[in-house]
Amino acid sequence: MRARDYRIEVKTDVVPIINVSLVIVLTLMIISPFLNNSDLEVKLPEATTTETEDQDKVEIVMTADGRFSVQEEEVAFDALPAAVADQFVNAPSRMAVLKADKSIAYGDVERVIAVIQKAGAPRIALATEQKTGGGG
Amino acid sequence: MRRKGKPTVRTIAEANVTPLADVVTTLIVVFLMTMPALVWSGIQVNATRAAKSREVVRKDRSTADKMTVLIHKGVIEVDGESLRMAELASMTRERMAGADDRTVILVPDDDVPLGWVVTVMDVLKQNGAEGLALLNRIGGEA
Repeated sequence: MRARDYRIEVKTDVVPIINVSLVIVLTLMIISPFLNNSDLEVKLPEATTTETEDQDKVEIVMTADGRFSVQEEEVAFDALPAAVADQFVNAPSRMAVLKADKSIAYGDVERVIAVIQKAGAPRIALATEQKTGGGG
Repeated sequence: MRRKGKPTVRTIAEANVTPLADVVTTLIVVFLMTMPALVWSGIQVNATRAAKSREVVRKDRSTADKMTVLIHKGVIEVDGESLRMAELASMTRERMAGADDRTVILVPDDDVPLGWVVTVMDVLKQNGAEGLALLNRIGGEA
């Protein structure tokens, strides 16, 4: 009588890693439109008492060297009123969030706030970064 | 009674939850990592449209029924009194304690950096101010 032949096959089970990779890819694909990938770099002012919301917003970026972007699209200051107004045509209740560099003089920020207001934004917020450590 | 020498084969019917646990853990980790980029944080402001308000407030600030804070470079002025940050905190706490309307009017100078204005706003909010109104001269003129 012959003994049975047993062969041991060593194979890595790749199914779990495929599962996990697919989930990561899908999640990032869904999330990517909401992530900020603007080229404009801004150092936001820091505050401890910030309001955090994840509702629909119109993001206006203002850099220290005077560049602007509306919803990640760079625009010149002259084109800013039209670009901001476009955002409020279909969704007039959106919140305008002004991401301005902390070193910018308030006079310049005020000018942009006025533009946003004239464009029809019902609410305006100044974007801040959460301050770590105690405030005075 | 079990017979000797014959192995018993028992089928265990259990769902394999390991792939599910993998996927769920990955989802949680990805969401945790991307959450800070999805939500925004900031301070909501009211930019009031009043053509001459800035000038009116400068001249007649003591008669204003709301707390009015003038922000100069490095100095804060309330009711004609120059204050430091700690003094502003205690004064705000006192004024807000008995106030019905907790709106504070802010009048920053044009050359003050935004970071300083936000620091003042932060102190006001920490000490009971509910609404922050920025006097917007340009908005009013338009």
